[in-house]
Amino acid sequence: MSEVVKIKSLNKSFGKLHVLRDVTLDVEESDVLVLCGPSGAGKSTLLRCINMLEHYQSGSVEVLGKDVRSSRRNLSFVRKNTGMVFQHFNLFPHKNVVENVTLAPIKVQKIQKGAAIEIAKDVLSQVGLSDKFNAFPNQLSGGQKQRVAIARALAMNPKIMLFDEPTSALDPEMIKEVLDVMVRLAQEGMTMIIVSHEMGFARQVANKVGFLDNGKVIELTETQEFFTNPKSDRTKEFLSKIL
Amino acid sequence: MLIDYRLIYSSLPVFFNAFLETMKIALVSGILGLMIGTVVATLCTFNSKVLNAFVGFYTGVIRSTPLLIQLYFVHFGLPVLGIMFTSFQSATIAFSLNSGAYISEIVRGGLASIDNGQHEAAKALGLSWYQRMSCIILPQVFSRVLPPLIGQFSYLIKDTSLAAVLVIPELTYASRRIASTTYRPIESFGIPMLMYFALYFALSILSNSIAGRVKRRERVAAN
Repeated sequence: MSEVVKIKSLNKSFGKLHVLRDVTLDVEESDVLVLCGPSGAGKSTLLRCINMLEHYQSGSVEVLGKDVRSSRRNLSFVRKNTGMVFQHFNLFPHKNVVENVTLAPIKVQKIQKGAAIEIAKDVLSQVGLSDKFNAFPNQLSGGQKQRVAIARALAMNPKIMLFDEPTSALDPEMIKEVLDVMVRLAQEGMTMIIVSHEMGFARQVANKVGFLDNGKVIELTETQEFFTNPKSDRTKEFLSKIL
Repeated sequence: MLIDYRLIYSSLPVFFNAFLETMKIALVSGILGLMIGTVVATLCTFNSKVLNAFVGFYTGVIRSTPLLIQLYFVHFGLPVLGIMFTSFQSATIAFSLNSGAYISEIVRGGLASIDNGQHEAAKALGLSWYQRMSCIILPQVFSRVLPPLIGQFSYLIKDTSLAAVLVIPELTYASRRIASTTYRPIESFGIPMLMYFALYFALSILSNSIAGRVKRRERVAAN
């Protein structure tokens, strides 16, 4: 097993607010890591440091062997090879589904339009939306939007997928359709880092769970261990409240 | 008779040429103004103190001084510094700098209205700054700011009448000459009014068709 994401003593603050304190964390290939913790703990910020949507003050983030911050080229390499899914989908509203999905393959990977459309057909069928090819984002339900967003990320053939609270903005009924897609991705061996409050999902799919509080990784263990035998009192307290 | 149709008929060729001249000034200045406004507005997104000061100075000067003075300054002031322009060049420079300042404010508002998630999604997909702006951000900005933008262009069309002071044979200049030689103010000023209206009307049709195209595309997709 090789490490695909290596985070070393990462520190990040927004002004006076210290959001990440000396975070160190490794993710291996085909890991499914769920990050949980109270809001404001720094989970999303940590995730966003991996593809440098957030800048950080000190420490290092290495993805697929490249230091994200060291050069523009490395950053672009990392972004090409990591897909990201956001809480609020962030589809491009002026483009239809197929344009949303093919944009990055065409513009970034310089793939021919015809070939990109074939990729789009493939990834859209993976998320069960082959019939929404020409729809616009505002014609889709929340769950469908999020599945298109996953397809858009998959179209770049990423090595790692980052999920930032992918189901938090969805109706309960739609959560399942998105989680089902994520379960399948995990089964196919995709490396996934997921910020989520879906503890049932974490238990079912994740092989590792990280618990963050106040900018620190309090606990990071195998899923089974995390739920049945948490070490820190803070984790126990958190689990007792949400389970 | 109140209206002399023969005069209208005989002066039409002059008015038509003047109309073309007005259209030419408005079109060139409009396109340049849009380019200047877009570039200036995107400069503001870098949050650089130097750039912001430059933009603030530019828009401040343009918005606080009369367009006529700006026109005089370009045409009669700059030659003192050794920069000479033809009347047409001076007019288009003054008009495009002027509308560029107002358009930059409109585009800046549009840029600020785009959700940060759009920038982030585009970044996460690996798009470069230029690709993000040209494929994702600016198309959304322009469809949002289309109405105020069209308003700005309608001001520009009317403002081109100031070019008459530089003896450019555009509509206003032509109408003043015809009025002073024929002593028929109704015809002399009525025709250019209709022609200015025609330009505005063409502009509003254009804007409706742009707005309609986006809607139609979405309706087709819905069926």
